[in-house]
Amino acid sequence: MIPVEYELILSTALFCIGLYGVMVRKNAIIVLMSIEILLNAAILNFVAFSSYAPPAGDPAGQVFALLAIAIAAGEAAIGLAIFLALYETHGTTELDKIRLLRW
Amino acid sequence: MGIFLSLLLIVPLAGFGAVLAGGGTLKRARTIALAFSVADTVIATVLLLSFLGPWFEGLVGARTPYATPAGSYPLYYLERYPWIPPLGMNYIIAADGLAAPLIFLTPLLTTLSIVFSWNKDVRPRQFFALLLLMEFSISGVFLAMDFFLFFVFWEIVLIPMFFLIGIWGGPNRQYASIKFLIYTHVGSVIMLLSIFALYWNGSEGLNRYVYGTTARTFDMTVFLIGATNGPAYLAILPLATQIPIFVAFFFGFGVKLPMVPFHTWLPDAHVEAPTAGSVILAGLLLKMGGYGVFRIGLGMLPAAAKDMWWILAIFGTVSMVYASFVCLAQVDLKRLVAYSSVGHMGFVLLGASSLSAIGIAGGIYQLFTHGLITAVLFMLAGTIKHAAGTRDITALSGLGRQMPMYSTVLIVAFLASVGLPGLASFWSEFFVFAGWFNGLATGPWRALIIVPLLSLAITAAYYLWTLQKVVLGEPRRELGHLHDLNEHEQISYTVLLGLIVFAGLFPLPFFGMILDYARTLAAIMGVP
Amino acid sequence: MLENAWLAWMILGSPLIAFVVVGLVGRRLPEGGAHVVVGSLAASLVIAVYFLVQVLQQGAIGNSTATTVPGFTWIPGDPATGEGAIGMNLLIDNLSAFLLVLVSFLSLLIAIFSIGYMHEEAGKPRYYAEIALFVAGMLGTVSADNFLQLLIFWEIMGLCSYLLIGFWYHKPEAASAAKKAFLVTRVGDVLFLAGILVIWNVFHSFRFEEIVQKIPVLWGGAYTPQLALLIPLFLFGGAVGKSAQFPLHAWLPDAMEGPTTVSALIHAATMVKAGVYLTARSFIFLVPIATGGGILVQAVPWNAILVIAGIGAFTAVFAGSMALANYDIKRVLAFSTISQLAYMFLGLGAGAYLMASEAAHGSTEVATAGYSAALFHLTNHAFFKALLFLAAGSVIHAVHTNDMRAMGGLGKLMPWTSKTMLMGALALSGIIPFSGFFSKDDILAVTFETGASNPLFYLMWVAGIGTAFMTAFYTFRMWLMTFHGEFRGHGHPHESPRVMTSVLIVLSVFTIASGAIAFLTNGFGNLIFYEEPHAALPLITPLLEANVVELALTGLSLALALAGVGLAWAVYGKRVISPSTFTKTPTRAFLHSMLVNRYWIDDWYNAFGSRTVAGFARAVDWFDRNVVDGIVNALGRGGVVVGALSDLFDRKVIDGAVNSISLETIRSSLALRTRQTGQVQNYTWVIVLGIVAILVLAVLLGILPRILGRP
Repeated sequence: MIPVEYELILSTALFCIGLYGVMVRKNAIIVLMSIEILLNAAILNFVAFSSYAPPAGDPAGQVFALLAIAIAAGEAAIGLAIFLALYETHGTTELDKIRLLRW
Repeated sequence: MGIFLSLLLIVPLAGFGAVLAGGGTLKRARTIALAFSVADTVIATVLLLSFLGPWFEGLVGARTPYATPAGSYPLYYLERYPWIPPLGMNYIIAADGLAAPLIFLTPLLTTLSIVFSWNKDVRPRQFFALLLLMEFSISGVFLAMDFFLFFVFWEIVLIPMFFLIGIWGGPNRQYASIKFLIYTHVGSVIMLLSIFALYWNGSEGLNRYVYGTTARTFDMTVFLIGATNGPAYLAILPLATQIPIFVAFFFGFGVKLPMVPFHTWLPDAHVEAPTAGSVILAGLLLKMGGYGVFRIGLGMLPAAAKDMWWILAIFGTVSMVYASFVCLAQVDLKRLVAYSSVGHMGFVLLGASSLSAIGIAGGIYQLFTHGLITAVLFMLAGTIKHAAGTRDITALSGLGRQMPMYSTVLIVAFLASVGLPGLASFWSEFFVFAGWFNGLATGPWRALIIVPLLSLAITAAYYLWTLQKVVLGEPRRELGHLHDLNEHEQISYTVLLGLIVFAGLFPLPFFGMILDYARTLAAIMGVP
Repeated sequence: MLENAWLAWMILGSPLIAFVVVGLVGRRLPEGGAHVVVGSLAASLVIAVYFLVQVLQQGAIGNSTATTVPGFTWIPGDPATGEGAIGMNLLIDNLSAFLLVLVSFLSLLIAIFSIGYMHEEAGKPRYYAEIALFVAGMLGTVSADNFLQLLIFWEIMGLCSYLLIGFWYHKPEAASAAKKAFLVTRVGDVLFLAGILVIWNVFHSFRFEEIVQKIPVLWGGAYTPQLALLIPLFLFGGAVGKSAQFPLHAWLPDAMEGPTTVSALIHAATMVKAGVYLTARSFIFLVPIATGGGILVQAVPWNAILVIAGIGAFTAVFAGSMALANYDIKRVLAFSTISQLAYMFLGLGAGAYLMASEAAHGSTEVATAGYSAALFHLTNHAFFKALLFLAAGSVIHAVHTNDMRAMGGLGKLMPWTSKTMLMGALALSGIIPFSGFFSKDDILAVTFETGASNPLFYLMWVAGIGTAFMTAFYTFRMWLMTFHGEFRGHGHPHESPRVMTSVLIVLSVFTIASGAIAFLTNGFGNLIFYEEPHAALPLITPLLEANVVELALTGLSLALALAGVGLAWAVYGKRVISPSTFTKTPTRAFLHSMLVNRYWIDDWYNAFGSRTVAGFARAVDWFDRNVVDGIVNALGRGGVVVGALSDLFDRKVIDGAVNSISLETIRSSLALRTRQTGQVQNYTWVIVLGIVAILVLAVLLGILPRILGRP
């Protein structure tokens, strides 16, 4: 059985990669993909703790994981739709070109 | 407890709403306003008739004096509904010999003002609506038997008048309307102080005495009925308390009346006001001051009135003499009439100061007759301004040839104002003098009556001088061809002159109910 | 008790109805409704005669009868006692019944005359309506049963007088004269009103009959000697105004601006007599009656009586002298009217004094000679002065001027007018046997007799006979200047129409005959008297039986009158003496101009009115605008200044604080807004760095376990 520490390290690594993508990359699609990576890092944590929970594991973690995957799919769909609309109106998906929030 | 008296408030208020809602054009505004005002006049006439004698009592219901555990008082058709009971505020209205003629006068003059202003095409909706609001609030002042209600109505009156002067007035209307508002408002604020003084000082004890209820109240009947029992009243409201309250009330009413030297808002307000505004201002608004003097000054503070009657007499006399001299120097017809109003209101004070039944009745009758006569006079000033473009007495001449109907009305109205026998104000002036002579003045002080009497001669002088300039003589060519009265003016003048002659030949219908009330007051005072 | 007493109301009512009818539809009636008015006055006359006959039959001659015809109550009295009721009733007694006949008869004649005189005038309906109202007022005045009612009709008369003087209202003189008449009489009316107030205060009644009864009861109580003096003086004040006595005489000459018929009716025959009537009625105060009959001597106001007689005597001379030098035919007559009215007041005053002093000396008989003499003169004067005025009107109608210098020689052209006017002139001059002689001589005799009680009356008698001389002179001066010599005017005057001359003839018959009333009734004092009849003068028999002194007095006054006529004849008829004699020396010229200018009294009054009163009024007006209103405006401005100051404080201090806070907020936010890039990734950076910082801090502070919580 893989010790839980490994799984947590993997999860942390994924999270850092995702965070990096969100913070640094300008392309909206890539930022969205990075968010997916962030989510997967969290899902990995759920699954890992679910199997290690005493005495014989807790199914709740797996349920959360499945729920999160489903919602992440929805979120990706919505996000892509927004980006599509953004592209149509602004002609770009570069995040630093889009300044709608600035008053 | 019927709602008959309340109709006098509901109808004009409904009319106000109806004109605002449906008076989009001049035609519709004036028709609606006239309909409601005429309805109100009919109701007020029925009320007046019910005071005349047994024949008409069935119209409204049995006329019995208002009875309380502490005695009855000649207030009739009293209606009482709680309003803000914890604070002692109620909706109480009633009518009596003092109020009934004035209540009759209110819708009457408003109706005639509406008829007179039939072609007022500047913002007609607002104009006619404000007239009805005025009618509502002035009726309220005369009807209210609760201090708070009274004060509310008293204040509402200022608003439509302010706008009537400020919007439809002459060139200097801004100054005049603001002066009017501030001046009279100062008066009412001081009056409010004394209302509070009565509320905090006397109302609880008197309420217990009259109704057996231990609570502060704004109910005016408490004070009126309490005052009928002199010693008990003095125990609760001692003379030292009554005097400052009386003085404060007197100031408030004196400004409204107005008396010299608090009169200067009046000529300005009149000169600038539109004719309908002037008619209501002089015919009704001034009467509120006189009404207050009788209702509150004499009716609720009899001990103070008996102590200070001579102050009233002095103010009255000064007003009469002073105003008649000022009149002698006026060249603007409207200003002349305005000042003559000040003088005629001096009669009211003089009558009140007599504290005798005849004198008080004369003073109240003067309120009524002056309301009729001064309405005609202001309408006449309005007519000539409209016809000739000027009210300058020195610029007018020979109207007897060009405007015979107008001249006839002018002569009759002037003579009525002079106090010629057979016309209304003869009786009021005569009874004021007779009552004063019978009143509290003793010994050589009585001889002072000659001072106000001489003002009668001066009054005749300025009116005759005006007649000589305006009616007699050759017509002026530069005035051009002048049109005589149109039908609407004819209606207004006919009604008013008819009443003036009627009230002069048969004063009893009006004077009788007034005398009944005045006898109650005089009995409280202990003066015959 | 009178039969059909209610009919008495129709005496007033019928001209009142005529007033309403003519006032409403007069324009459509022929002659502007003149016939309606004439008819109504004839009806009044018939009813008045009916009542006079009843009064005389019931009381026989020499007995008094008084009936109150009830009318309606204006103001009911005290509910408990019924005291103080004010009503409108008619009192028909000897005096009022006689005067009702006199007034309605003269009004009728003058209304008929008007048909001719006013024929060409525009505005006839107005004229006739006002005449009808006036007659109703006059009839009401003489039949009122209380002082208030008397005042009311009195004022109605005054109003009509005002309107009729101003009949030609487009003439500035007429307008001004009308105003003057109203105002001057108004001064008297105010005094009258004051008197009525005192009466009300003392007696709680206005009715003559009640007052008579109450005087002895209240004497010493509410009715004090001061009031006893004050009441008749106040009432006399009203009479002075109405009857144009000095010092309120100035309006009557100016009142001649009205039509001549109006002058005849109102300003000679009727209205001006109302003052005399009022003074006669106020005999109840002058010579009060004690409870059991006889006179309450203590309550007699001697000084008030002296004032009345004195004013009368003075005005007689004063007004008579002003008539001497006037060239306006109507004004001569107007001054003469004032002078003759003054005779009546002299007679009333002397009569009252005589009555009271005889009672004081213990005489039981009430000496009413002066009272009846004055009223006799009133009657006679009404006839001959109406005649003179109407004749003057006939002349004016012919020559279209009032100026006697533009007349002359009209005697041949207008024979009827000239002859009838001569009758009037003889009566006015007091030549026997014309009516004026009897009554004037009566008054003078009574005055002389009173002189025994108070020598002042001798002085008044001298004034009286002096006036008799002047009267004769100016009357014939007027008649001669008008009808004698050559015509000095323009045009071709001709005699007036029959409707006018026939009235003149009727009047001249009465002028001659009215003196005979005294003979019919065995002394006028048996017809009209106060309290007790008194077969007074003039009767030829008692006159001849009287002592030498009285005969001598009569002779003297007659001689003086004849001398006056003779002087006038010498100057204006024969022209033996040139009129310029009167202005030859500076003193005479001064006197002449003094008379022409009416002693400058009118000028003084005008100056008083236009300078003093008007100036004072302007001063008060200035005071009102600048001082009283100035204070108000200053208060207003003070309020504005306070407002400006508080506004300053408000803006600089209070609002300053508020503003500075908001200003700093804006400034800092301006600085901060650059941090808001709107870049999501910038915010992410901040979030991440923030979390890191928190974690670092938590680790450093050692509170990480607490944040994470324990498992």
